[in-house]
Amino acid sequence: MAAASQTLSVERGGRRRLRLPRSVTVAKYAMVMPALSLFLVFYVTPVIAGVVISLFRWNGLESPSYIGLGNYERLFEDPVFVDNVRVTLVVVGVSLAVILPLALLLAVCLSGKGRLLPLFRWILFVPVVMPLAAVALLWSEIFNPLNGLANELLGHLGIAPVAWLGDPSTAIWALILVSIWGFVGLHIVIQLSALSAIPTELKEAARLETPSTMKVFRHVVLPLLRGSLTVSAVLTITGTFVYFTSLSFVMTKGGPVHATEVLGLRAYLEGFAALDFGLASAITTVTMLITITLVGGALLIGARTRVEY
Amino acid sequence: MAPEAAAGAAITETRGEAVQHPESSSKRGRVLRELTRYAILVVASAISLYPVLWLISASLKSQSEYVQDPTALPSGLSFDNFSAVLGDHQILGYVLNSLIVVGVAVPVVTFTAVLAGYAIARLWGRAGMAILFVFLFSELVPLAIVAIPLLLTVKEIGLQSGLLRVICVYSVLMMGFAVLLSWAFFRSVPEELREAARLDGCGEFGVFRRIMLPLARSPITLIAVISFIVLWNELFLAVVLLDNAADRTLPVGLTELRGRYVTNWPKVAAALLLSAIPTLILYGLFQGRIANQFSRSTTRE
Repeated sequence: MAAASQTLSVERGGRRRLRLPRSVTVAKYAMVMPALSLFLVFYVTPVIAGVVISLFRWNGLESPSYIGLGNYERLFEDPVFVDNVRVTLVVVGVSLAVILPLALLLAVCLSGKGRLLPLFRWILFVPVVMPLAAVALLWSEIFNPLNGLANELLGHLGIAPVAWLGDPSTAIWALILVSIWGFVGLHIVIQLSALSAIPTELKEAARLETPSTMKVFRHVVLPLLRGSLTVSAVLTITGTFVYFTSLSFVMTKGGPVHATEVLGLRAYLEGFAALDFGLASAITTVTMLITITLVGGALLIGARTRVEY
Repeated sequence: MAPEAAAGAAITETRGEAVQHPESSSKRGRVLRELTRYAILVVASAISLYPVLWLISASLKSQSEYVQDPTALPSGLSFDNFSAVLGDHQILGYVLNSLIVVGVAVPVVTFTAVLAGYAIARLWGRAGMAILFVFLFSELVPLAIVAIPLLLTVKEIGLQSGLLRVICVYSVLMMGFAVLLSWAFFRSVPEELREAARLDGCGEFGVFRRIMLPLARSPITLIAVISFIVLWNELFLAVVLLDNAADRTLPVGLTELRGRYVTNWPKVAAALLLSAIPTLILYGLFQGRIANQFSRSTTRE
């Protein structure tokens, strides 16, 4: 019985083996195709189309005419565009400078065992799952200059009311605050899971060498967080490009006087309000290059930083 | 493995004895550290949660009560705002649109990504990494950046229906993440499993359907849950892609509310809360697993 089934399976195996390559070839293409074709049509095509359209003058009504780098020349002569780039870089820079240390600090506080810690973990992630539209409207109301919460709070401290979203010098900071509020929870979770992956023996062995918790953290824990910090940095960079565009779309429409007009919003305004698809695509292409440069930089720094003991 | 574990145990033991004295002297330091830790957590939680609690409190008030004192707690439990929102046909239309869009996009992205992730991990050999990198590029340059060319592409293809546009784009929006997750999972499934099934006479599709798909229940759930949360909340691409007011999804509709309910903030608050309920429930149910997922996908890198 056993022998019989064995010969059977051998025979089958032999027969199958002949057909295996073809079946694998068919299967491997068929399985990748649905995802890949969707991806090619709705992701790769727009990316390439953006670069191509940026070389044309096109308002969507007349047929496009080729103008070479004309759109880019217009962009770099436009002081508002230079401002758009500056605002975008400020947002990304400040987000990185605040989110990474803050997330790390809170993750360290949340790590380990404690009866209340799961509750805190839950609370700190709540803003992340709040719908962005809700977050934006909620904070618009908080920053309402008339009876908003923010001014109410300042009133208690004896500070005169601030126009917040209505004032170019405060609007950008108000929006950065909101984006950090909505974003930091995600990064806490990332750092927390990296922290919990560090074997306790390692920390305890290190503690034998030095009694200083700070030293253990700096020389043992921090180098091991390199990977997760890099991931956080990349997500902060790409995330702020997306998140901030939506925030300023809902809360300020880029104003006042372009103070919160990040690149994504400028591209939207050119494409939608001005129907200048060429210029919008040129902005898109510049934005892509900036993102790739920043993300590449973050990955490089992440890879360069050596583990030091 | 065993000797290492023993060594680890030995280390903890010696540490327990050797460090006992300094530790008891630093007991105050430790209490202080715990105090700081909880102080930081309490402050951070208050900042996280207060705006949400304030939203809840506002949604339970009447407009006049809210104007009188925006920060005070509501005088009683009145769900008038909620019933007004639920009776608003326009908002129900937004909800329906969102349900359609997310209800189609989530299964599409989940199924195609799991299939592709499996093929890349198990059938494509080294060439699989190249395909994976193509998908991962979308994590570096988010789709929202190319929103305008995306709109032009979608129009050029001839997708007239706004909902169909959003469905297609949303399926792709989560694709990079979903393929990565699925690939990482199938890479950890022993190759022998597939070979054994093949020898038993299963075709490649049979192996996938009978063996791999049932095994992959956990990554499938995760892809579906995280995609749902992200897509239910997505705003900017929907704004760009939908040019018909009747097609508005819930997040797009919400941004119009401020104008429609003119300064009636409690009513807006009720609508915002209702829109957040599905994702908050999903997050509550899957909290542990969502967190675990990040540990796996990020520490690997």
